[in-house]
This record gives sequence, structure tokens and C-alpha cells, in this order.
Amino acid sequence: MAIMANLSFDQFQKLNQQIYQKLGLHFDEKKLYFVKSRVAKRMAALCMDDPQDYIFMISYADPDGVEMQALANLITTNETYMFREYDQLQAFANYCLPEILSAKQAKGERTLRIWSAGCSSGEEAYTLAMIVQEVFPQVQTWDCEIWATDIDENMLRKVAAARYGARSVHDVPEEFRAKYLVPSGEDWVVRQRTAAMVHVRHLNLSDRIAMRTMRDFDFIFCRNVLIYFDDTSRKAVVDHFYNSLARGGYIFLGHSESIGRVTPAFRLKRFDNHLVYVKD
Amino acid sequence: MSSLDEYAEKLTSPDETVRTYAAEDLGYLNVPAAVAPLLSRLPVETSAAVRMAIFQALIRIDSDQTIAGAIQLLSNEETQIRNLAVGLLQRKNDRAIPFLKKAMHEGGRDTRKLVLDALSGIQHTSIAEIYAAALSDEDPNVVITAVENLGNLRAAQFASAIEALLKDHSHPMLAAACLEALAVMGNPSSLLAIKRCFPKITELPQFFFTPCLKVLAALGGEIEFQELLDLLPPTTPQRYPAILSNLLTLHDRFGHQRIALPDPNPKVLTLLKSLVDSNEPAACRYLAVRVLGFWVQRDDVSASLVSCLTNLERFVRIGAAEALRASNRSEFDSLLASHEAQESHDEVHQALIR
Amino acid sequence: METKRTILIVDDSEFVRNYHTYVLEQAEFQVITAVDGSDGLEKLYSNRCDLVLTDINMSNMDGYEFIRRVRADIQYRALPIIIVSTQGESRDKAKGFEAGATLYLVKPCAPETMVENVRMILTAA
Repeated sequence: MAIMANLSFDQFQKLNQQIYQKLGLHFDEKKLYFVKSRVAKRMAALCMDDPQDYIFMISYADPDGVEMQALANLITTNETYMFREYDQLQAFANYCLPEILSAKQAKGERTLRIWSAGCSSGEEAYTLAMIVQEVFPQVQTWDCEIWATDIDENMLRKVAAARYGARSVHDVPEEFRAKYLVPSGEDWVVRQRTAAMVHVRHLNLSDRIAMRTMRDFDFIFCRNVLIYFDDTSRKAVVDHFYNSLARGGYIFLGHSESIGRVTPAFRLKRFDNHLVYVKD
Repeated sequence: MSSLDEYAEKLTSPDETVRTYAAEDLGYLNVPAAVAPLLSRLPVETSAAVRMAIFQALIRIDSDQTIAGAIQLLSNEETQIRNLAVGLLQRKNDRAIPFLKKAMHEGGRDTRKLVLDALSGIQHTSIAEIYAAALSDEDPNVVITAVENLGNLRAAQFASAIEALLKDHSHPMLAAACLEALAVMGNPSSLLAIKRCFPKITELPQFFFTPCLKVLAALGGEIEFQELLDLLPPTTPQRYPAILSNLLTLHDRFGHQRIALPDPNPKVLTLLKSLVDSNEPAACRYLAVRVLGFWVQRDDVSASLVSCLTNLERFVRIGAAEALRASNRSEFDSLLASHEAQESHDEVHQALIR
Repeated sequence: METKRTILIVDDSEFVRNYHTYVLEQAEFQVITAVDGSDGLEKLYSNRCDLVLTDINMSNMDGYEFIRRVRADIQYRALPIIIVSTQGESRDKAKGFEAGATLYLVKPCAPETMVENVRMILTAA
């Protein structure tokens, strides 16, 4: 029989609310089946038959969030590739970036600082570099830095190499591929002019002293990273992000992640269909 | 200057970031002496971000002074501070209980309500006393919060007390809270108590009707199954989702020991089939397919379900696949496999595969 | 057929969200719910809502702050917002109106009172 939990809509709602409250992740009705099948796996692992028991346990008998984390690991994907979560990147490219650039030009400033926090192998950092160059070709005359940080040294080596296989570039629009990537055997290498914008640094997001050195950013991207943190640590990291952003700066978490659930310090803004968070 | 003094001084800096880091550093010092400067900064701190950093620091400090301080803050003028205090108390778990007990005994009604908010989610034998008192509190909001918490905790030892509260449904909100709590507490005797209070379900307003259905589904058996089915045809469409959802819950509760299904009323089958193809929300149509699936052993029903496999609405296709799978009839295997090969939507695909 | 009006309920109590949903759905309203002020803002921005019912005491973002942020957006200056709170002192009500609420109801609120007030506010809006 296909593995699925007999989760009623009410139970799905309740579980959704718990997932939102504890992990800051949103799942709407369209994801009912997706969540059901993941819950079924966890229930099987715990030898539970009744979804009511599972929901009770995860809501009131999971003080250290161990089960919630186990569920989180199933409902989130680790996969990283360029131009992932395109919707958000559109908001960045079409609204947030032009707004920040205009404001800086009006003040006579020529700096732009972007942070890809928990960058993994760097696809996001290079994606942002491509977008910045595409939206604002004059960025070459500015002091623009994109900081790619991660706790994993192996990953940082990959970022520095700027070489990616087909899986990483499958979503790169054709015109971007032509302009910003160079084929090299079966791989693609980021062009030097673009790669030069990205700076690599080892950084543990839970290291509060190191985090305090990251200041005056216009954008912070930390997508699909914080779900792996417990509640206290997540709050601490986001508080640091708040202090790392310049006034008017934007923060982007994964599209299912809600920063508003972690802290009300940021302001929600809407551009067309996109919801983004800004530091006032 | 000691670190403590240095950080305490930085708490008064004009720079918001400096104050935030000072609060954080005081928290990491984790000494009782750090509590006083943090608490005394709160009344004058205007930045929400710094306030939150102060509370995070207080949560980190392993001292009962933080709990005592938070209790005092429950009667603060500012809503944000009161709410942060509740959050802090929740994080202190069992250690906060003696302080919360005292506050429950001595505090005004707003404080008593906040004490219960702080207790929500805490399971401990010593809080039974607090809840016993809360259930007979003069303020209905305190009682309602207590009932809700007890339901969430599945504190079945309070079922009789909540059944007694139910008899007086002068406050519909309290009665509804009792119904919802009793549904999850799982005490079989509650079913009879509820039927005595509400003998005619169909005449109930929605805020009693839906919780009553939850009780029938959670605590009932074959008789209640038939009662739920009988609600279907004459009822307003607004009530379909609640009835269908609870039918499914009741049916699934019995797992492999299937409820002896009554012969379906033709009107019920007609209604379910019409719901599947209606303009009702997808969730309702899914439920209709699943309930129709109870009678999958009937040829006319299984034929309907098979035709649902090509419905434009993916939730209907998912429901049909689930219902046909649940029948355990091998003659559907190849049919489901052939649909699997043609199905493009990932979730429907998963429902179709073995 | 007239489109149903949509009401956003913002409350950190699951029971209260359910209860008010039942009351309002019976009165032929569509309901969306949110667990606190932050969630409320996201839901408001993602859906067309005709009226908001909000609690005050909620963790993360309380009702007053939620209302202030709603009112700070020019698009929502006229959106009807009803506070439904356990706190019923006159100073609480004053704070609510100062933040920008349209009406203040004290819990527990009789179902018919809630529905009458919602209808009245929507008619006036």
C-alpha cells in the first residue's frame, strides 16, 4: 500500500501551525499530500498508528525539538543549484536591488554588499553576482562585494573553484549562461569578471563574535539554512542578521521560511506578488 | 572594570547595536548578577530588537531571579513586555511552576490568564492544582484558557470536571471549548455526557455543531457513524466538510477492524457523487471521494472512483487513488499502474504507486 | 451570486481561531486565520481580506503592533479592524483605538454580537 498518513484536514492545519510556530515554515493546502507522506514516514519510524498521537507528541512532548527536526529534514530539500527559488530572485532583481541602487546613487554612495550566509557550494552567491551584473552593468565601477560564508571548508573550496556540473546550472536562463559561464569539459566555470565579485570566508553562524564582524550589508540571503537550527539558535542568528544589515537592507530566507515568525524586528513589504522583509 | 560592569554600561549606549550586543553578552555571562541590569533596562528601552535581546539573555541565565522578574513583568503596562515575559516563563518549564502557582493565587484576572498562557505546553503533576483552581475561576476567560490547555495536554483526569462545566452553557464559548477539549481527551464517558447536553445535533449552531461532530468522531462507534451519515443529505452545504471530515476520522480510527458499514442510503451516494464534480473547494471534493470509498466493494461506487482517476482536480484523483488502494482489491492494481504511467502531477503519482 | 466577504482572524489560541471561524462561517463569511501578528501580516498581504479580527496578547507580535503596521501601509488605512480581547479596561480600549482599531470587543463575545458588529462595520466601510 502506498505510504501515507490518514491525516485529516484539521490535523494537517494543526500540524502546519506547529511547523510554522517551531520552524517558521509555511505549507499551504496544496502541500497536504506532501506533508502527509513525510509524516507517514516519521510515524512508521516511531511505530505510531494514529496521526493524532504524532501531532500530540510533536506539539507537547518534544521539548528539545528532536522530532520536529527529524520532520524538517524530510520536508525540506538540501539540493542547491543556480537560480533556485526564482520567484525570490525576481523580487531581488526587479524591485529590491533597483531600489537600493537608486537610494545609494542619490546619496552619492558607490558600495554594494551582499551576504550569502550558509552558502554551501556557492551556487547562490554566483547567481547573485550574475543578477547584479545583469541589472546594473556599471557595478564594475562600484565597490561591490558578495560574501559567501559557510562552516564547511570543503564547501568553501568548491566556491573558490567556481566550477559547476550540469545539475547546478540546469535552471540558469540561456542568456545568462552565455554571458556569465564558460563551458569547460562537462562542467561550467563562472567567468572571471563575475567570480571576482564573490569573496569566500569561513564563518559559523552560531559564533556570535564572528557574526558581529559582518556589518553594513545591503542584502542577506540565508535560504534553507535556518531550518536546521533549534529555536534559540535560530533567533540568535536572525538577531545578528538584523544588526548586520544596513538600514533599508533586505533579508531573504527560503520561500517557505518565514522570518516574521522568528522576529518581528523586520518590516514586511510587498512588491506585486512578492513579499520581502526589510530593516527599517 | 569587570565584564559585567562593562556590558551593563553598554546597555545604555545610544547605539542600538551596541545595546543589543551588550544584552547578548550579559546573557552569555550567565551569572545571577546580570539579571538586575537587564531587568532595569527594560522600562526605558524603546527598541523592540533590544527588548527581545534582553529577554533572550534572561532566558539564557540560569537563575530563579529571571523567573521572579518575569512574573513581575506580567503586570507591565506594555503588551510586548508582558508577552515576552510569558515566553520567558514558558522556556523555564518546571522551574517556573512554583512562581506561577503563587501568581495564580495572588494575581488579578489578567495575570491569571497570562499564567495559564505561560503554562500551556508544560506537563507536570504539580500543575493539576493550578488547573483545578482555574476551572472554577470567576473569570470566564481564565476558565476557557484552562479548558483549552487541558485539552491540548490530553489531561483526561479533568474530563469529568469539564463535562460538569459543559452542563452550564450560558457562555457558548466556554461550552465550545469544553466540547473541543473532551473530543481530544478521549474519555468514552464524555460521549454520553455530551449527548445529554446536546440531544439534537442538527439544530445546533455551527460553533456547537462542529465540535460535537469532533466528539462523535473521536469517541463514537457504529451508532455514531450512522448518525454522521444521516446528517448528510438534509444539511446545508456549509456543513459538508465538517461531516465528511469526521466520518473519515471515525472510520479510520478503527483501522483494520472496519466498522460494519450500513448499506448506503441512495441519497447519500448521490450526494457524494455530485460533490465530487461540484464547485465546492478541492478539500471538500477530496473528502467526498474518500467517504464514497467506504463502499468501494460496490460495483457502482468502484466505477465512480475509477472515473475519478481522470478528474481535472488533482485532489479528487488523489482521493480516488487512496480509496481504491485501501480496498485491497488486486483487480485495481493494473488500473492504478496504468494511471501512474500517465500521471504528471507528483503528488497524485505518489498516491497511485504501491 | 454575491461573493462572500473574507475575514482574517488573528489569534494565538487554536480554539479561539476555530470558534470564531465557526461563528463567522455560519454567517456566510469566508475565513482565513493567522497565529500571531507576523503571520497576520503575511496572510493579509497574500489574500484579499475585507475585515480583520485580532487578539492583543500574542507572542512574537502583539495585536497593537500588528494594527500599527497594518495602518502604516497606505493600502490598509481604511481596512476595518476589530480587536477581540480578554482585556476590557478602558485604558486597553484607548490603546486599541490609538493604534488604529475600528472597534473593540471583549471576549468572550456572544456570537450574535460578533456577527452584528462585523456586518455593521462592513456595511459602513
